[in-house]
Amino acid sequence: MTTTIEPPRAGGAPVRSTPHRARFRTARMLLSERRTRVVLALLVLLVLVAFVGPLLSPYGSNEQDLLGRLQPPSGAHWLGTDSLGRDILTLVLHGTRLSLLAGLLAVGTAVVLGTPAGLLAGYRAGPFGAITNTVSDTLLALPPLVLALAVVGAYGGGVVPAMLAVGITLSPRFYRVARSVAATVSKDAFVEAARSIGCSTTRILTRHVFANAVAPIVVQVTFSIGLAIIAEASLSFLGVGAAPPSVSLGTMARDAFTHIREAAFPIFPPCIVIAVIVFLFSSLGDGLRDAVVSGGRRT
Amino acid sequence: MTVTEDQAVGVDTALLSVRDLSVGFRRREAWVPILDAVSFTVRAGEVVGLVGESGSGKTVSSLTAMGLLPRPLEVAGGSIDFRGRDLLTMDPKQVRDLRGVQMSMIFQDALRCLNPAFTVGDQIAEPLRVHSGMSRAQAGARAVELLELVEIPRAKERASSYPHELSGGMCQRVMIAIALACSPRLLIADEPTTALDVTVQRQVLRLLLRIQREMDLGVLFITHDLGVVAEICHRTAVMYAGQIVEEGPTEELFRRPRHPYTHGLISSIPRLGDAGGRFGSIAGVVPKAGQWPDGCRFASRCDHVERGRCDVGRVPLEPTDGTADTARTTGEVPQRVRCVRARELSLEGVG
Repeated sequence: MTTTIEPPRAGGAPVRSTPHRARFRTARMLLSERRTRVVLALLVLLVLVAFVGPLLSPYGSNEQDLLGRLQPPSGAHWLGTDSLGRDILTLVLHGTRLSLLAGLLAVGTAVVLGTPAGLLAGYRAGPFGAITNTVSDTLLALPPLVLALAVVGAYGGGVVPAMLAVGITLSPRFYRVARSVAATVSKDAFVEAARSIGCSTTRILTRHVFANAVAPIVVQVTFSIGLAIIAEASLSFLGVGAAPPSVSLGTMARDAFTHIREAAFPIFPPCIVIAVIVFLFSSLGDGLRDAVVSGGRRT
Repeated sequence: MTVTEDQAVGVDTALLSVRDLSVGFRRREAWVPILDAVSFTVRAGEVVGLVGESGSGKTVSSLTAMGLLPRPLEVAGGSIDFRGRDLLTMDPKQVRDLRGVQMSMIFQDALRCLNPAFTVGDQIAEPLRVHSGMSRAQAGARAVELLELVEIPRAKERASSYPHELSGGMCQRVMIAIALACSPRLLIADEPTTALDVTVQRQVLRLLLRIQREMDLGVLFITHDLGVVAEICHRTAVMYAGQIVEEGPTEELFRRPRHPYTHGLISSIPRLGDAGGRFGSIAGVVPKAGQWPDGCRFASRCDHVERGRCDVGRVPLEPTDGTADTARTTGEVPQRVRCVRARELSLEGVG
C-alpha cells in the first residue's frame, strides 16, 4: 500500500463550458422556441390589461345608462353598450380578469389535489395507489360541467364553488402526470442515492421526484387553464356561475344572447375574448409540450 | 442459521462489525438465502475489500449495512454493529440520521445517481441542509469547498453545472463530495470505478485513497477488480455464493491464497509479460441462490475437489495454519479460509 498521490492535475476530465444562468434551466428549456415566447408575451399583456384596464376605464362595471342601452360602438363607448346601458369595453376588461382568476382557482385546486396524490401513488405501489387510481378514473368519467352544476345546485351559486368543482374534475390530469413521473423516477438510481444520504421519503418526494415533474405539470397547467375558463364562461352563461354584481364573459354573452334580436353586436366582444384567451393558453401549452418532448433542443 | 461459526474480531476498535448476517427472501413458502452468516469488520482508517463475482452477495451486504435493503429481501439473522450500536435493532429513523452523516455510500453509475433536475452544487449541499441545518448560503459555500476537495477545477463555476454537463469521472467525484459532505466515519464504495475508463479509474482511486488517509476513513470497498484491491485495500474478504470463503491481510492473500477460488481469481488477472498465453479462468458459473450444495459451494468448479470430503457437511471458516497464533499476539485479524483441504493445498499466488 505505497501508492503515492500525485498533486491534483489541473483539468482532470474534459468539461464543456457552462451556460451562465444554470439556475433557470427549466424555464429556459420551456421557452426555447420563439413562438412560445411570443405567446407568453401576449398572455402577459392580456393579464396586464385585465388587471390595470378596469382602473383606467372612465366607466364603472355597474354604471347603467338605461337611456343609452344597446348602443353601437362610438367614441364614448368603443364597444357599445349592453342591455342595461353599461360600457361593454369596461365589462370585457372586468370579465377577462374574472375569467383568469377563475381559471387560476380551478387549476390551483386541481394541482393541489392531484399532484401530491400522484407523486405518492407513483412512488410507492400499494393500497393507496389502488384507491387513488379508482377515484381518479371515476372523476375522469364524470363530465366536468355536470359535476359543477351538481355542486352549485347543492351549495348555491357563485364562481368559487363552481370553480372548486371544476378543479376537482381537472385534478386527475395532474394526478396522472405526477404518478407517471414518480413511477419512472422512483426506479432511478438517484432516489436510492438520496436515501443513502439520509433523506426521508417526504423529502425525496417533495424535492427529488417533484423537481422532475415540474415541466410536464406546467404544460398541463396551461392546457387546463383554457378548459377551466371555458367551464367558467359556460356555467355563467347558464346562470349558475358569476352572479351580479360580478361580471363574467359568460354572463355578458348570456345578456347579449337574450337581446340578440334588438342588437347583434354585443354578442361578439365577450365571445371573441374567450376564444382569444383559450387560444393563447392552448398554444402556450403546445409550445411548452414540444419543448419538454425535445428537451429544449431546437430542431 | 443457528451455527455461529464466525467470531467477530476486534469489536472494540471496529467501526462496522457485521456478524453472522443472513439475508434472503421468501419465494412461495420456501426461504431463499442470499447471504449466509457473513461476518466482516471495518476498523477506523482501514480499507477493506469485498471481492467476488456478480451474484456473490457483495452489494446485498453493503446495502444491508446501510439499512437500505430493497423490498423483497429480509434479514434473517445476525447483527450489524456500527460504532457499538446494532443497526438492525435500531429505530429506522435513527438509522436514517446516521446515513450521510456517520456512514455514506457511493455507487457504480455516478451519473444515474445524480438528480438531473438539480445543479451539482445543490446536490452536494443537500446532506448539509438535511442533517446539519445549514442555511442555503452556508451549504452552498461548503459545497464549493467540497468540490475543491475532490479536485474539481474551477469548483465555483462547476457548482452550478448540471450532472449531464459533466463527464463520468467528474460525476463520480461529485458523488464522493456528496458522500463526504458531513464528514462520515465510514464510506461504503460499491464498485465506484467499474463504470469508468482505466485512466479516470486511476485518478478516482488516488483521490479516494488520499481522502481516506486525510480523514482517517474506514472504507468498505466492493469490487470484482482484484487489481484495484491489491492497490488500495489493507484487508480483503472474498465472497462466493453468499459466504465469505477467505479473508485476511491483502498482501498475504495475494502472496499465498488458501482457497482455490481466491487462487482462481488471482490467476485470472492479466499480467504484463504473459503475452501470448491465455488468461486463467474459472470454468462454470456461480450457483444460483437457492441451489447451493450442502458441502463446499465452490466444489462444482474446483480443480482440487475430493469426493467424500468436499461435498459433505458445512465447511467452516477457519484460521489458517500459524496465522491464528500470531494474530492473537499482534491483535491482527487472522487469515481465515473456508476449505477442508486448505492445509494440504499449496496454491500459487503473486508477489
